[in-house]
Amino acid sequence: MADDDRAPLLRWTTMVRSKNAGPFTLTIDVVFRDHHGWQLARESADFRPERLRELLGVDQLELYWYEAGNALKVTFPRSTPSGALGDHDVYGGQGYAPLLSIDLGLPPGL
Amino acid sequence: MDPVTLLSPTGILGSGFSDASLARGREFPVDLIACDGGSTDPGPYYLGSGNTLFSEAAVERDLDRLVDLTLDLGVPLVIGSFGTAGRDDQVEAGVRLLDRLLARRGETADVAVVLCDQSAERLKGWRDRISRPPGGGAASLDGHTVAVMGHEPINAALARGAQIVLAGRSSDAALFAALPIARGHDPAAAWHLGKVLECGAAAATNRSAPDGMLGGLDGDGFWVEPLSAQLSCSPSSVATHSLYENPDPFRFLEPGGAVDISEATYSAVDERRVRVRGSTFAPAEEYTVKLESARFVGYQSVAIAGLGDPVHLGQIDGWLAGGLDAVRRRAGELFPEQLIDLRATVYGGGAVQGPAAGVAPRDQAALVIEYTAASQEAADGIASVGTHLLLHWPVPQYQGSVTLLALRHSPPVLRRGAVYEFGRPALLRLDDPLEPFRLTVRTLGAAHGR
Repeated sequence: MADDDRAPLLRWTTMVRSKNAGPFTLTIDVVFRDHHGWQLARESADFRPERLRELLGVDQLELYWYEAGNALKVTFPRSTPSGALGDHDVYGGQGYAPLLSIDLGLPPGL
Repeated sequence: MDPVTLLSPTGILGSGFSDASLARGREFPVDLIACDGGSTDPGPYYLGSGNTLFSEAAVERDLDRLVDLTLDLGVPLVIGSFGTAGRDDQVEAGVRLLDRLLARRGETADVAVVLCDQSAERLKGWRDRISRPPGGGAASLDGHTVAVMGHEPINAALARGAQIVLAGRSSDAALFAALPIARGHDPAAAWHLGKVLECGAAAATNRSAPDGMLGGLDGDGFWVEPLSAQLSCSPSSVATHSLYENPDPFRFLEPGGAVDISEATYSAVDERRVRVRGSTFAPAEEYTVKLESARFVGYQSVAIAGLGDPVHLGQIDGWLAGGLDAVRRRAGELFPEQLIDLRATVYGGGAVQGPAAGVAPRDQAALVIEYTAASQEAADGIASVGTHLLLHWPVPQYQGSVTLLALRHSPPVLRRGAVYEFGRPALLRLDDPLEPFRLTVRTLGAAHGR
């Protein structure tokens, strides 16, 4: 389970992605395999806004819990607008990477 | 109310779709084909420069097939944000392409063209009606500016009997929502459907390459189904797609109001089709359209190098600070007052810059150096002399001449041309949703004098 060791969040998820929501905003989606995983994340200290701010290196963010989709969304202003001098990710496609390290433990059966 | 069926061939014109998928569209009672031709996704360059993301060959490949479909089915084709940013010149290039494609068939068609460039003079006149969206900084509209249209200009174009609508910058969802709203369908379902369809097959569970999606309204929410028989939608794939690119998973803003999807339910009709119910629409107190602008920054040249020496990598930040200072001095000597910006990014190697934050260190790294100057000549000149300086810039552990960069190319410098940045988006309040947009209907094709 070498991949899991480097990205333990993936044990619980079917999708982790990020994308611009307009040139000034980045948004990360995390979709859990099931409601149990979503619930565990919701109760975990790792997904509290202050921990996410630290992990992502941002001052402010919005955290949304989307229960019907077993998903959560983290939205925050980009430090540099898309494509401006110093921007390193025009589409915002790799902004989710820091979240992969969140370790919610082992799901049942693993 | 008659049902409406909409066909989205792909997420963005020019990205492609399978011919077999598009052919399946002929088996349905399609009322309208729609597709967007761009967005702000690829960055500010396209709005700033007027160039396009995809080649004309790629756009022609897709458009050619869509022209066949619209003529064969006798239903309208709507393409918004034509040419990536939806600038007037990009739309006009689309008009010329379409004219050629129609003429090649010996056909004519009435084409509605909706333009949305906004001159500095117009923007000045609207000063009192322009406000910043919440959370934005100062509105800066000093670059090339377009207004982002809602569904009303699309419907105005369709009402003129156009077979094909080529529109400038548009709300992607509006291209799909327009017709059902005009026919009296629930605007919430129409907008939510538009939001799903605008990405082509992206809401399918198993999409690999760009492809299409069908959707329809029949008085009971809406349904979606991938065009390709190989693809399927599931309740969760459509629900999670509603998260995509939206800052807020529960609601998205369109010119005339907010679509609330927090109470939406997603259910499987069969193994490929999903029905969505329960979205609501709250009209805004004021009708607004977004103004997007991109401003010229300078000319850029770039050098790319590999880094493989752990001694060097271990002190890369300090080394770069010293080296880049030397480059600035050299730039000042050769091209006084010309250097606008100089920066270097290390990818990998345990660097904490750029997207690599938090990623495990490796033994190799890449260095990207960006030189931005007031002229291309200065950018090239500073980049060539600066990259040479850095190539041999020392570390204390080695005596004598060293070469610490594994330069990727000869010549080492890539010319990027003009670079741009987005202005902070602003909102323009309107009494008439058509006011900033210019609609003409032109007969294009064979009878057009060739």
